[in-house]
Amino acid sequence: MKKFFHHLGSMRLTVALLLAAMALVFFGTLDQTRYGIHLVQKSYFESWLCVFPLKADGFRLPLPGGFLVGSLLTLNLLAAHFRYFRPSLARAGIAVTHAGVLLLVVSGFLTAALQRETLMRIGEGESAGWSSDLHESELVVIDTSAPDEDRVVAVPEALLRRESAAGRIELPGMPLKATIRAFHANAPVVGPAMAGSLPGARLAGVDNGLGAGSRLAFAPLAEDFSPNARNSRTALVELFAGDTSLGTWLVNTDLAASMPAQTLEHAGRTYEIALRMKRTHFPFTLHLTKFTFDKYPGTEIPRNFASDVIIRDPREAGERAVTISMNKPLRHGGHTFYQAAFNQGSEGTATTLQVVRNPGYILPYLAVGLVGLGMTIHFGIALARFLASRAGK
Amino acid sequence: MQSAPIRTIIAGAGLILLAGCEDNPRVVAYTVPKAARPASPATGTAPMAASPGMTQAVAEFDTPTWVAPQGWRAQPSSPMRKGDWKIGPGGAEALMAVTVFAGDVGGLPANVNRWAQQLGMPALSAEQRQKAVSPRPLEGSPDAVLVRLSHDGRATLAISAPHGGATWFFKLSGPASTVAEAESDFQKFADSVRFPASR
Repeated sequence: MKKFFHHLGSMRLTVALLLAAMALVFFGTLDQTRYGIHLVQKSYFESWLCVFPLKADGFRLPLPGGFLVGSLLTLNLLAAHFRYFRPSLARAGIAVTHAGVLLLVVSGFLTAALQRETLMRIGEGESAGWSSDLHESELVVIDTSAPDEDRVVAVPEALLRRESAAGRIELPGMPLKATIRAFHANAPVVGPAMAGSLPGARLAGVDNGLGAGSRLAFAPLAEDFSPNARNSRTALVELFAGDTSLGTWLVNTDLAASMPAQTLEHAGRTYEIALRMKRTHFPFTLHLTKFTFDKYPGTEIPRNFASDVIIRDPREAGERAVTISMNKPLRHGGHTFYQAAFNQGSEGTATTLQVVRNPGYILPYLAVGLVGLGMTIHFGIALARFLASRAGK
Repeated sequence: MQSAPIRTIIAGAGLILLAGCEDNPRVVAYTVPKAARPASPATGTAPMAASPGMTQAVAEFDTPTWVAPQGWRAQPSSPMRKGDWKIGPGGAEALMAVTVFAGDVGGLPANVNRWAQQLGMPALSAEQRQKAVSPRPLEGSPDAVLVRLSHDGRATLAISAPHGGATWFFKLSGPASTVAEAESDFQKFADSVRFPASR
């Protein structure tokens, strides 16, 4: 045990881990050019093990993931601290600095595990109480029968990707079950006449909803990982009441974004079925009163984007009007809202806010403060000693 | 009995493992108030998002011809919007749009409710919908209907015309006074619509 503890706290392990971190950054950057920042961040830095290149036949180089390197570095630092450190006032600065570095590593883990980034889109004069994920979709079945609220059952994309291997999925609180007949991460929907000219395109072959009425087809394509890619998620979903099939629906994220909902009636209740980008609902709403887009006079160069919004939060008395602009985000309810984009068209203006939730956002500031404090103490003591020794000469 | 350093390291490792764990994907259920849902699928006024696939699907439909009345100010069209005009004085402008979608677009009740919600009305009952809808055949689309809605100083006149596996929408909406003034031109426009013979 003592020998293990000795190795765990060795400088050799520190250097090896730092080299592994450098290799991770190097190979991760190479793969980023092909697979984009999101997938690389997930696969290389928010994982325990990874391989380079991410997708290829033949030999692939195994690498320790960011979580493994980070956690071993943390244990290495802890072990070294207890191995070499002897408590004394003279070393108080080093102890505080080490605590700051540890806190920085822990905050990195917490950010990776808990930070969520989504987009909220609000039309001028409208309110929004939810935001959409940028990367993940969800299958939703919504019971719209009640007069004042809808019951939503959401199946995450990770389950959809397992397709029929996920079995018959129970929809809690509904007399329905779903089987995923197919899921495609990128399969645009096309009309029947186009299906013949697109390689791999096939008729959806569904017997319900838009896909049946319009004889829609879909063309499975490779998932596009470039930063501005818009993958069109598509699924074929069969719904059951008990063991009786109610039919199969074609659902697609673009259909959900641009078309009215597909509905079904069962046992006197009305349901909607859709594949949409995963939603986060908030206990408050933002109402966009005005969007402002200023340009430098005489040019088309943007000067400022700003959204005037009213926060309506039942947990607070009254409403609050705020302006969100390029460098002035809104912090409310544990979320930060950044001005991200806008649309201006003949149907009106809509703003897009990037919504970031990071419960540990304060930790890096504390960590950097601790490191600064530790170094100040350490060098302060060294300076005092130097001055004292010079005065004594 | 473990020593203090080892206990600390084990605790640190536990914290790291806990933070690194991914959620097991599971089905979730929750309720949302109706008001939290937007009037249209994207947002009520936000431009519709059309994927390349949808654009291709729309490009396959038989586009009718029409004659736009004088005084309608044409706006740039898009793959999903085949015609777009501004009507009436600035500050009280109404918008006229011709759009096309595959299939029945969720059915007439869903579309009527969508337009009603865009005017700030609650979803209509079957009886209210029946009152709002009347037959308005177009040349080449004998089953077309006219939907007439108004609420809180704003109004919508819309024709929903099924043709060749698609549904065409001719929708005039804006301040109620402008829409009322533009109705006769709207009807003349509807009379001028000609769908080609289905392929």
